[in-house]
Amino acid sequence: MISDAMLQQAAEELATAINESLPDPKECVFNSLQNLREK
Amino acid sequence: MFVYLMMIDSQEDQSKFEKIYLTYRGLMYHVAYKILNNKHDAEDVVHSAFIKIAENIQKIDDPVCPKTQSYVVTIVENKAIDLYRANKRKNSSLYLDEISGIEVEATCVHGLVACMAKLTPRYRQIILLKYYHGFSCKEIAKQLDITEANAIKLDQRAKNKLFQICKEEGIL
Repeated sequence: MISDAMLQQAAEELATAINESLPDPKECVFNSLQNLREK
Repeated sequence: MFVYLMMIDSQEDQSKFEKIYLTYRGLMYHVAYKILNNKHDAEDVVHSAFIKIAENIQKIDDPVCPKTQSYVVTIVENKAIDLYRANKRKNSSLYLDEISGIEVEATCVHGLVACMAKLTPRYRQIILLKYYHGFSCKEIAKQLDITEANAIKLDQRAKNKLFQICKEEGIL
């Protein structure tokens, strides 16, 4: 099986990769406000 | 935001929550909208996610950091997929069979991390919440609205599936 230490390290790296695949939160705030204005 | 602040006792935690809310609400909406493709559903899901975040605010040390971003994104993705599945049950013809959730570029990760990225969103969320964010199965159960027994079962199944993927990929 995979040890907890390996899981912890891989989970941290995966979280970093997920964050990097997402847009900058600052840009999303602008988009969200734009969506609200469109309503 | 007032409704969430009412759920939090200390001023320090309220201030922490406010920073999370102002920093990540747009990103959370973006994640929810990508899964649900519906503005109202995405807003509902962001609201449910913020309730869970307010309930767990004491567990968050730094309100604006990569770890907190990962946490809020994991929670909102989970809520969005739950709603997607509930909508699918109501009107199956409008929805795809399976939903992939957040996609990670395969070229960005290698080895065990790449295998982890291939897990279903539910398994990936359990692994992230337990092994990166350090939540117990009991705490995960509360956040994902499942029983503790189910959280334990999901954790075990996620690890078994990960082991199987690793074997197939020749990692282990």
